[in-house]
Amino acid sequence: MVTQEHRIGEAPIIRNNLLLRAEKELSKKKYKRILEIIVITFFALIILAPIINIISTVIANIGEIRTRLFFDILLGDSQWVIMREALWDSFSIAFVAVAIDVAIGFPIAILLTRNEFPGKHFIDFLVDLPMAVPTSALGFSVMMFWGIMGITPGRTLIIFVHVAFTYPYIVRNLKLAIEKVDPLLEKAAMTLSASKMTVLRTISLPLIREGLIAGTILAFTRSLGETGATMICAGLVETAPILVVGLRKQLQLPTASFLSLVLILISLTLLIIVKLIARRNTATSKFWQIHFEWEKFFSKSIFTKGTKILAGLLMTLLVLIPSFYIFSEIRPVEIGVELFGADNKWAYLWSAVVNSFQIGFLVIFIDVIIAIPFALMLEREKWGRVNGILDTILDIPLIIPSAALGFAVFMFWGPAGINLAQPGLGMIIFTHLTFTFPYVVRPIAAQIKNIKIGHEEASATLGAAPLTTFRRITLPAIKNGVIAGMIAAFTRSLGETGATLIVMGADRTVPVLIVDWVEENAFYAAALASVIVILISALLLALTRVFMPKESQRL
Amino acid sequence: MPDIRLENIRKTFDEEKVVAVDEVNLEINDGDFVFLLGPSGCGKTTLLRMISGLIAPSRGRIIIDGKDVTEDPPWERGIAFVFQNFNIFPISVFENCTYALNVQGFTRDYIIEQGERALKIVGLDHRADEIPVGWGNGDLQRLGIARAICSGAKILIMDEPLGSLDPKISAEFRWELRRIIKDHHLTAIQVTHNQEEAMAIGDHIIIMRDGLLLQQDTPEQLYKYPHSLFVGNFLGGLNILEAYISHYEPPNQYSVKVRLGGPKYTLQSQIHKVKLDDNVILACRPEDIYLFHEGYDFERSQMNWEGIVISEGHITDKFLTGKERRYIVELDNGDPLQISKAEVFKYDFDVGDALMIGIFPEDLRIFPYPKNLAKEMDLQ
Amino acid sequence: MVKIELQDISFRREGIDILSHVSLIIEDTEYAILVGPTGAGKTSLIGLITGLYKPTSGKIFFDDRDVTKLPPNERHCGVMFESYALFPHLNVLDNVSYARHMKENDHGATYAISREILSLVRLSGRDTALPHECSGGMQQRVALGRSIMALEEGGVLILDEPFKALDAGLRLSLRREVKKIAKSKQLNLTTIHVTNDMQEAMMADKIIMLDEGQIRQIGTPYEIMYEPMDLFVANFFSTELNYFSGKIIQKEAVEKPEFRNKPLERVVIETTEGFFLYAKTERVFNVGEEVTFIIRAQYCNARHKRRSDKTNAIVGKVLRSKFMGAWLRLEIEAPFPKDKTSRKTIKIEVPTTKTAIHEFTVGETITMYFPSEFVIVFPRIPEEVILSTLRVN
Repeated sequence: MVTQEHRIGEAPIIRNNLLLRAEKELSKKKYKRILEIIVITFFALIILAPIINIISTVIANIGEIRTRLFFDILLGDSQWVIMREALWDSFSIAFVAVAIDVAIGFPIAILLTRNEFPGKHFIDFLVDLPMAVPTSALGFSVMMFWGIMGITPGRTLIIFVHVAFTYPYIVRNLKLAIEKVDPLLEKAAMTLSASKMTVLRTISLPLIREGLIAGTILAFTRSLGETGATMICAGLVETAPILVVGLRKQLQLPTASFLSLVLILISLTLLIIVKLIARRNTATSKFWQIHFEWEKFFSKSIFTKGTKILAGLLMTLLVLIPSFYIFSEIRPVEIGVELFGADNKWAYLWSAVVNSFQIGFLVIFIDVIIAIPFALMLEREKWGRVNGILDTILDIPLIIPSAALGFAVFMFWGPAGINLAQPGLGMIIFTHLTFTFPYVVRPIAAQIKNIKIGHEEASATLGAAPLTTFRRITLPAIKNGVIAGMIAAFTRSLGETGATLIVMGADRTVPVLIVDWVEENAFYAAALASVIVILISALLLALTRVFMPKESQRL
Repeated sequence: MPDIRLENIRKTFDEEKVVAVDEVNLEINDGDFVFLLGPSGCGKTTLLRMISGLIAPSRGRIIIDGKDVTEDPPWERGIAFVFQNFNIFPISVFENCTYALNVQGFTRDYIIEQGERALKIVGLDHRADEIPVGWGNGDLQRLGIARAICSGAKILIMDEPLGSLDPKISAEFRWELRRIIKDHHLTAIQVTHNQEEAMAIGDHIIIMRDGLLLQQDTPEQLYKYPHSLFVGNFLGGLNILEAYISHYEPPNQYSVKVRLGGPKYTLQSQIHKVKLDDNVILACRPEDIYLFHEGYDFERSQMNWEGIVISEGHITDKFLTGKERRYIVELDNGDPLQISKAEVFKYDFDVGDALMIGIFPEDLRIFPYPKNLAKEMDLQ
Repeated sequence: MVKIELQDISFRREGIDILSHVSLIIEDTEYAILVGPTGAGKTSLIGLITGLYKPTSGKIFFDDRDVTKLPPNERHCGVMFESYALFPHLNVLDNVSYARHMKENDHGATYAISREILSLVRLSGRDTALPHECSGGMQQRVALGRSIMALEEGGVLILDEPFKALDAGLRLSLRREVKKIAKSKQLNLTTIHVTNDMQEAMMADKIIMLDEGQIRQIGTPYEIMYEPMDLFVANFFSTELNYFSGKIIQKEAVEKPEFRNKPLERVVIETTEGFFLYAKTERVFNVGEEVTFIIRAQYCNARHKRRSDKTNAIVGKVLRSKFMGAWLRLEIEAPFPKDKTSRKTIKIEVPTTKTAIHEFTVGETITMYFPSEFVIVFPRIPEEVILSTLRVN
């Protein structure tokens, strides 16, 4: 490199740049270690610690739990029976909902990945939207819609809600699986005389198979853990997460711990299965010759287009309309009566909105500071197995029933644990940190994956210390991912219901307020609250898509 | 002034299971334009990245200008890198070009001066404020080179810099590249798998295979005196004839007879470890085979044909390459030969024509018969 | 064995004209090469022929049958893609058999034919290997076998830059092998081979040169090399060329054209620098007409001393000399006859064989000879157009 000495006697050519010198110093290995330790500690505290705590609590209280469940003086083993039935209900509901969703989601997923047509982005947006909406608002809207069809709260309604709520997850995961298959392979098959249906059966499906299974299992787990919307639509039915909330309210902590642990373990097992499937090499396929002529017949435009139109209609009827039905229930007069009446609901609504926003902003800012180095570590460090493990653990808050994880957080940070927070805003913040962290990390990690490592190498060979490369190359490149992540996390925080129900004190967030008001039969006020929160979420979702046009988020 | 020395460099991956670079000792002189040339997977890119510091060697030392830099990170080595896929930053042309000076803290005036100079050299000075989006590959690489030169580094490392360019563009651009490097008296190391490129613009070529250096010399020496069949064939193709030693006169006079009734050649060779009756390979370049139509009068020609050995055969195939004409001749004993003739060569032949071919013994090289001929000639 | 005809094909995508008014005919069993720089529209043209894309206007005929509206699975084009596109979940045998598998119930018969094809492409005995277990050269052969299978009853073999990823040696040997197979009596295929490499294009029966969505020239290798339609084609099919501008001052018919069997005229050109050079050309020019002519670097001889009986010579000093293997590249500075202080730099390559003297030293004065049949003359091209055509990008 050119040095000052080469120009003795002339004007100085090197400036005394403090920033560059600081970056050079701080790039040293020892500072990196310190940062890594801080980040990993944070990560462990907000995700792992509560889970480990639950495990140890259950083990510590195993005697009491056994008694309460099976040998209770008054109730005998009825507690266990209730728990068992709740688990069975959750499983069967999830199974049915996911099956329906796959059937009407698959053609739409193909449509959105392989076809080009005007308005595609809008349909894509609509399909995604129910995911952004807070679950309690969604549940309320769905309940109102099917209510006018004559379906009252109960098992059937829960299934309808889960169909609506899980649909975006299924479609998103199916899209990701389909995108992994090189479209050129399908084109090659066509030049080899295969009709569209034959290509689907012999080429696309075998290659998507693993992604399909993984995506379905993930959606299943989500449905299993859904709390907020289910509570509104359940009537007398108790699914497992609802039972957790109930037990917590009755302060039956050991039993609640036990059920939470069971739910957590089931979800973790399913998560690990998914990760293992995803890593497997695609197996070879045997060649089955079925009716070539029939497949050619069904490849006709009328069938392929027809299936997609049918799926689209069902999607609109079962998912889109129920999700947004609530907009039609806005009655200004009745709303005025309920809000500005005797108990001044308006004040509650306003303070709930303020709370939700305050929590949201605080949470995403803490998240982002840790998420950026964490995402870098996840993508760039070569720790072998450890990267995979971190990646899996990161997904835990996405998988585990929010009620169960909320309960675990409550037990860890609250009076029963290390007692750093009381039920209320403080504990809500801890809970939201846990849930939103993956939402910030994933988009940033996806963007880092997209950065050509060559850019960072070029910067290094041109004399830039690692921190300087980070500031000048990496940060600008991931900027969109950071913003998208923050927006996604905020949306998640805004919509969080299940866990918040567990850890809250007197203060309310908007989703929880909706649950309250539905229970009080203040439907119009609940409708307004739902509409407000749906509009905000929709806006935020649209913003996310502006910053990350290539939807590379998972779940 | 920098010279580069590699001592006992070795690089393995996956706990010694994959040996990318086996054992390399290398010296590159100041101001030299050196090529690392070899087939894919030979370790040349890994070696290059170790010199620049992007990978650390498993063993060995790297010494630049007398200083041991093995432990130094890339940003402290003073080596600029030009990449095959350019790695141009999404900032303006000028900011790209002056990036190195910027991150090293030079004054604004100096940066402007050096930046304008470098851009002028590659002909991009009138586009200094543009953002390089949608540019052709040639211009992108010009910017990459300007950026490397502007950094002030005295050593330039290039990983297949012309690899992403169309063949036509790459064949022309290479001369521009050489001119820029020579004008700046840079020491340059370039990796390529394109032997034409290395031969055209390299001062020295280092041939690698399977993680080892096979031979290192000037293009002329390598082309005329390859140490192995592989090297000879890799650099421009060789015709091979299976033969055996029919007579040996010490210290280095051999008579070699081509199998299946082929001709006999008497030549001098530095080959060792062969004895009478051993199988050998006789190799010669396509351009070193002479064609004569039937009845050619050797006496009348102005060229001195003394010593040439004539065989007979006929043309089985013929094609153009754009640079020259190529004929495939099958000799009467069955051996095929590929012959290249410049377009300006007076005579043309057609498939089926009978003719005579002549080879001067001094244009032949003897090689011991390799264990695996197909592998040595790199056919798969 | 199919004749392909494109009639006035245009192709527009996302508002960009990718192909404009392309018409061409490829005869039955012809080995045609579609060549052009990256971005010329070659892949799109192939996509239209295979049916993967639909043209915006125009018609496509296979053997006088209008296939423009036919979907890809009914056109019988065997395609070899640049990335091979082998089905990763099927083994070699099933990949090759794919085109027939679903149509025929008799798997045994299908496999038998596949094995024959595998031996044709020299891949016997690798039936059960999976694509990721095969080397680049092997994958290529599987892809070739797979496309041949689809053509068993006749059709078009399409090679879409399939040799790009291979090392030079393998490239050279494989592409000649593929042509031999395509032209073999057993198969006798019509082939369209896409490439951006002019040297590869020279093995064609017919070359179709494409640039920016339009056809520049169609012809045999000889026609493209010696009768290029314009400077762009001439430049694309040269490694290096020198260009001059000048005026025709004399012309005469050539009695016995010994080189190309066409009526030639021999013209004398006075260049702007003052050189006098001869050219043999089929284009008709008038005396006094302004022309631009090119001389390819390899089509020159060089001698230490001028031989008086030779014509078409320029004397100059060696500026740079570089050994390149079979060729020696020289940059020669020749002073303008009109103005001795100005110099023109001429690049030539001479063979390094005994018959061509190849010991030239820097600083030496030598004479360059340009055989008049290799001088290619065009009507005058303005300087800016020359520069933009020749600019390396």
